Amino acid sequence: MKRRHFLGLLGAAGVTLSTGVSAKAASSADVKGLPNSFGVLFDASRCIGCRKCEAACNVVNELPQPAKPFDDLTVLDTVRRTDAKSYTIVNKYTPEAGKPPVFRKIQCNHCMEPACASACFVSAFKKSETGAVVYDASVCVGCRYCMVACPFGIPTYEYNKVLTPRVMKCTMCQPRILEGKLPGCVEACPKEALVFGKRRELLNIAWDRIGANAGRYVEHVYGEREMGGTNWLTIAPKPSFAAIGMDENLGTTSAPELTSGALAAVPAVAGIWPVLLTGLYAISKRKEKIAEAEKQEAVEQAIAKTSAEAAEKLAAELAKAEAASKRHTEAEVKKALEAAAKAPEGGEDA
Amino acid sequence: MKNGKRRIKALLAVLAICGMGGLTALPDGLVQADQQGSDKLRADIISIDAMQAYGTLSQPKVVFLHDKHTTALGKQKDLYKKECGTCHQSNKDGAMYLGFMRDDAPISGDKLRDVFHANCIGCHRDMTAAGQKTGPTDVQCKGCHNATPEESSNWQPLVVDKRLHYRHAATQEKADNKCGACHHVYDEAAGKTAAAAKPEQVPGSCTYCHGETTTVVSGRKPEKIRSLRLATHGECVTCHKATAATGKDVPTGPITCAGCHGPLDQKAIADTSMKKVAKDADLRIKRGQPDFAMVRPALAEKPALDAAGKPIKPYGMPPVPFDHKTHEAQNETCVSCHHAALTSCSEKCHTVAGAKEGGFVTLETAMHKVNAGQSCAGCHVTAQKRPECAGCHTSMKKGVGDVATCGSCHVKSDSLDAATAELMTKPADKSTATIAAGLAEKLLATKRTTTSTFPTDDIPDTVTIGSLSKDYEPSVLPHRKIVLSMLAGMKDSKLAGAFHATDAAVCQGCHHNSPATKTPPRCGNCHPAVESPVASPRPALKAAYHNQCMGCHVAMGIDGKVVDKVSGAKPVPAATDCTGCHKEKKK
Repeated sequence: MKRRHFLGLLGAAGVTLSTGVSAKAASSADVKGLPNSFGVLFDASRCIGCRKCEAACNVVNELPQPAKPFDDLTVLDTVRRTDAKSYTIVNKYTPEAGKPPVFRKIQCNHCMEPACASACFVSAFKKSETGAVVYDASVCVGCRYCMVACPFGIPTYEYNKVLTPRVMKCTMCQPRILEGKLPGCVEACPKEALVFGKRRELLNIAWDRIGANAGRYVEHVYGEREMGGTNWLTIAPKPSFAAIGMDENLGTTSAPELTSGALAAVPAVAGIWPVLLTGLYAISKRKEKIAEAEKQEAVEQAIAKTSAEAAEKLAAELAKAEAASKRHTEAEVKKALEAAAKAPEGGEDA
Repeated sequence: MKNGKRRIKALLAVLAICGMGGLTALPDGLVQADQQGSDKLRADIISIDAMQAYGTLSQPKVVFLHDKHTTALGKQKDLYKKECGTCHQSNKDGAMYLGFMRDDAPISGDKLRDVFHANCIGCHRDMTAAGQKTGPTDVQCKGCHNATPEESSNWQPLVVDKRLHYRHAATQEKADNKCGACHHVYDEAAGKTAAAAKPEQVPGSCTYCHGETTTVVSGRKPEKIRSLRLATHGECVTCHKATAATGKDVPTGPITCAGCHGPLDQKAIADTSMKKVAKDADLRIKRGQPDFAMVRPALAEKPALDAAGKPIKPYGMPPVPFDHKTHEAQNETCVSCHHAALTSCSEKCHTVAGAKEGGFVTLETAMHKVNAGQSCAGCHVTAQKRPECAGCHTSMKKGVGDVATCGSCHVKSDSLDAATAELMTKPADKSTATIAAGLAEKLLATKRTTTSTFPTDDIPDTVTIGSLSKDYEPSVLPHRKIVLSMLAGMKDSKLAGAFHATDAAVCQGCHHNSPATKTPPRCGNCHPAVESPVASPRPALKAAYHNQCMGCHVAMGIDGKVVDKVSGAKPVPAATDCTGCHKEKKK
């Protein structure tokens, strides 16, 4: 049994033993039932960097006004990241000098198996059936493990709020989706650089677009497999995703798959501490017992071996002694016979 | 303390100035590097790596600057009376070997290394002894074997375009051995090459026989066919040099590396060609080609059989009438299309079923492959990348997208069908060439030569796009101006004329995927006004407009630029210039 499986089993045992308080980490089992989840396809070759998505996001999510207005495009000259006041931002990249720039919209990618949810021990993050990764501020303890766990560096924190700080990130406009509306950014995009729909249909559209425009796109849909797959998908013009600031080396394994075994074991270990200790005691006891038995056996074997050897040696010695005594007797007999033979001659005298 | 502060301030100022100097110097350096003739960017770099043939190199390749050495030779006429012979040996006929200080006989690795070391270093030492500036003389390897040379190459391949060919041909106008000065054919009986004096004897481009590397054909005499590099340097450079030696100020070609391969020199040659060749000069390279031809599969002697032994049905497509003369005018060399030989494409290589000689590329693929520059469709797709075409064609399907477009090339005409059918039963040879040419010319006469559309008055002057107006006022599209400027862009293109076959064809650049009529359906018929939460590859109306307009402006390279010639003209709005197309609504 592998260590991870062992810990996993312990974890499962712990969950059943502990009194109803479940701190189960997200695992692949959570998303298998979401084949109809929604997503957004972002086509970087269509984005013109107008920041309408940023403005719409700001409005629908009732976020505070930024320092510079959204129609100020000089903002794009600085590479930015998401912060507590903006769920999404657009950055400008120049993959090839002298060629037109390429823009990339950045927001939560809504992982199919979210790292933030697996890192959260109070389940403040949940993968919703719509595909959105949603946040429940009421249970959040503010540990900010989610921010560390996110492979895309998306969740941010309201550091300026003293009493009720929240973790802030894109919600895929979950409330709007539930009303049958489009996410704010998608609706605002003048070029349909953002397309909303079922993730599996978006994948078809993405690949069709790549195939129909031979040579224009990188032949890859970012998010199809990255970190186990994301509901937000990206296609980009050549030369590469790295040229527009995207990590091409994230791998295809989801964060929970990498960590859930060990993370799930954490509360479990606490829950069945006595069992564990008893178990360990029992194991060490058993080990001792076995060791004792083995020792006994070894001693017996050694004794047996030694006595066998001794017996053999004795037999050999006895045989030798017998032979010697035989020789001796024979010699004695011979002597006696010789003496006897001689005796009549000399005996006549005696 | 005060002094110290002042000193630091001064130091900072100096550093800042130096830093700025560095920054301003940098672009200057880059600009210079772009120019040929700068010492760092050269067309004469020869990487001496001949030792690679004998195993892994133990030292970095030597970056040898050929022009630098020939210039040095020119300056030292007293020391080097042998000129090229200083470094290059010649055979008994006087033909120069291109290798350094050796003939073309096989040589061992050790010997070759010694040839380089002894002669390079030897010459440098002689020069030093004569008190001249010269290359490395010591035994330090890195003097020559430098892994990080300062120089980089701007070498360009050389293309003998039609004008340059014309200028060469003009020099031989009166000679008996006209074409034979350069062109030769392999004479099997004589076991050597013979000059091809007449145009019809010329087998075509040098590349047909002289490949990238020297080829050896066993049993042939001579066995070796020089690589293109050896052949061109052996013939062109020696001829230029010999011509120069015939007298003072005799016009001749370059003999230095940069002279042929340097970007600036190439431009100078092209400019001279434009000046020297008369505008009405007949630039055609005559190889006995027809003005018109029919492109069709070769007629098999025996009907081809399929796997079951049944005869394969005849090729069903009508042949393609082809204006060879016009296509010649659009291309610089025969190789643009005839990439391997001047003979028929379909005879041996690109047969209907595909043949080993043609890499199993079938006739259909050879003519329609979009990403092959020598195929019909491939070359036409390249032409569509011109800015005046790219506006519409970037977003269109490339190549033959629809069976409805087959007839653009496979032209049919009811009155000529019988004659065409008869031609298809005869082999393509001299006897049918005239019939084919006549037929092709007649069929092509049915095609347009220039692009035209509906009468100007029938083209709506402006179109107001306002159905979606919310934050912005409706956009007023200068519809007629756009159509007329598109037409102006293709007015000289026969290609555009032939393929924009109907009056409505140019309309379809924007009014796409719908019936080609004078009154195309409204965009909103297909593109919904409201974005739906169901993903669709077809954009909603707002994105359809924006993608269409901006996509075209960007592809044509006119976004944000003033294209109208009238004074005070506004630029074509850039992508994020929202108010350039529609004014913001007053709130």
